[in-house]
Amino acid sequence: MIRHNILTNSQARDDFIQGVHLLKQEPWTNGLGVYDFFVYWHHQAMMERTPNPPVPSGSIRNAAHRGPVFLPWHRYMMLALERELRRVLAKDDFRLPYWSWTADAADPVNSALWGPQVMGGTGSPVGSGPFQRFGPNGLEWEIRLAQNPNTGQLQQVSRGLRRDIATHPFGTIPDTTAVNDGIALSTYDAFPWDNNASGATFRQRVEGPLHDVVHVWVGNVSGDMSLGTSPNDPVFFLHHANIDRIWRAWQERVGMNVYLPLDSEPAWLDRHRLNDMLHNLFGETVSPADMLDVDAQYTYDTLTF
Amino acid sequence: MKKRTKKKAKKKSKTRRSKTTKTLTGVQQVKPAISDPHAGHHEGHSVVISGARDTQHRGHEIVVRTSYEITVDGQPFGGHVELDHAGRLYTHACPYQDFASALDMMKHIIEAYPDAFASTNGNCHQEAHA
Repeated sequence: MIRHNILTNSQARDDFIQGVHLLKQEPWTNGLGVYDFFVYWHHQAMMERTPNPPVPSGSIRNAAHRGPVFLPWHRYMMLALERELRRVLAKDDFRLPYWSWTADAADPVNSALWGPQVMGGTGSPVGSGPFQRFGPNGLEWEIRLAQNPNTGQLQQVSRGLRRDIATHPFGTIPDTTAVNDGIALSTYDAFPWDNNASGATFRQRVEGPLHDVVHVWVGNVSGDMSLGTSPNDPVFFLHHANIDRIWRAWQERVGMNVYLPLDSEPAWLDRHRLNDMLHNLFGETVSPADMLDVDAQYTYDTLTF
Repeated sequence: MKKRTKKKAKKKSKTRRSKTTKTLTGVQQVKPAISDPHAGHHEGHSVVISGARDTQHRGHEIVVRTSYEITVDGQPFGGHVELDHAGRLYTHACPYQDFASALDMMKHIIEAYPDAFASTNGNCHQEAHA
């Protein structure tokens, strides 16, 4: 079962767009859809701070970001969404497509991804494509969960999707050289296990200079991709499938089961060690170790960037 | 170290992999904690955001504790803010970048959440319709 490039596989593209709309329409609770559950889960994981020693009052990492668990937690989240999409599409062979943003790095603004048949364009709200507030053929994409910046808590809203591509001072998105330089790093992660901007280890390099930059390139200041509720924009999943592809390419070079920190590291690394439990809301017992080799569930059409 | 990791991970993944292939169950049982959409700034008390950094230098332990008390239009700001080892600020409100100064961070938050800071007198209008 293969995850394809969304711009070269029209079936994967159409299935993804249809599937996320079906999940958006399927009731979860309080007027929210099952798709919104993933927005909620991402926010909840982000809000769970994990300790930052040796000074006890500090806390930089959370249960999904800014630490070693960033890659396995998001792989787990993507697998969960993928399962839900297979269910609503009634297609056992469906796998998430990815956005190969390195292929668009030379001219990302004019990427076919922003076309009306794929993810639509930019705007506040987005005014073209299948994720408009009130789009063509009866398609509606309503943002229902947003963060209250004054409290950090979620609240229900009703508005259109916001994007502001290519206007942030970060400049353009990372190119093939940037990705391959990251894959060339041999150490998965290291003390202080944070989001050091230097990107000295593979996970740090992927999360900061590659992952964060693309989020902000799409969302700028107020676009949904730049906020803690970033899964509100379905581009989130295409982006993270590509991040996951980068991890899989690194594993191809270094080894499938290479991960740090080990369980022998101190308890203040809870949620981030090899066999710690990944944050989830439905009682599954899953650890980073479970996310290292998932080739039985999907592979990528290419690991070349 | 890598070898040890590989052995342990392989053993665990064999025993647990099946749990990741079953249909996501229990979503309908998850009851979200969602705040009042009209909730705004914290009222009546200050919110102090603190962080601490430490390092060892020539046998000495250096600890730097930093506290911020932030208000917007006179109202305490109670959003989540953290300080990393490099002294840069991070907020869950805008999680994909960090900030060299608290003033820059607050300007960014106000622009990122136009609905929450829609009025000039500090009253919040959290609901947006577009």
